[in-house]
Amino acid sequence: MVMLMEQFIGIVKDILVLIASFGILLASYRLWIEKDRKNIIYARIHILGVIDCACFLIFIALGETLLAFVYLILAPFLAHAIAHAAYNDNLSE
Amino acid sequence: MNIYVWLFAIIALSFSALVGLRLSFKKGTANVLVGESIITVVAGTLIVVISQKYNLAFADTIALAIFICGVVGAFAFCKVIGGDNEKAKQPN
Repeated sequence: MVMLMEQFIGIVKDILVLIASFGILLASYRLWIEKDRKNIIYARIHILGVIDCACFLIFIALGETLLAFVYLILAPFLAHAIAHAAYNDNLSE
Repeated sequence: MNIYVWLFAIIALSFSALVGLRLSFKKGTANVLVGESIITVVAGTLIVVISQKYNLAFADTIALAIFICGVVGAFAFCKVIGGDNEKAKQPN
């Protein structure tokens, strides 16, 4: 029974990593093919958040709890800082 | 972890790192910041995932250091680009 539970948990972890990897692949693909246009930077910042959440899922599956929550908590602050900088861009050419 | 799931994760993360690198070469400073942030996130995750098979020493500590340094660097650059919030200057 215990061995069965361990196998089940292993399969669930594999499924989580698979889902997260697929999400990362999809998000990166959209990031790759999207052409430059007005306000595209905010979509890119959102995709950064998506990739960060997928990495959080991978860390949870691998049992790295500290890393998972550091990534989860810092990501929105990072996205806000970049969006604010993009909006007020003082280095525009 | 199943070997094929592990390989799929490595491939997805590597592709994501390449995309981040390509984004870093686009025009505009915010694009560079987004690309750099994607690379730091993905590089940290790659180190931990590779460590599942090859037992890198201190992989999680290195990943944490990479991520925090990347975020702090991005914050510093955002402060330079974005400047101060005008409304917060004079509390009166």
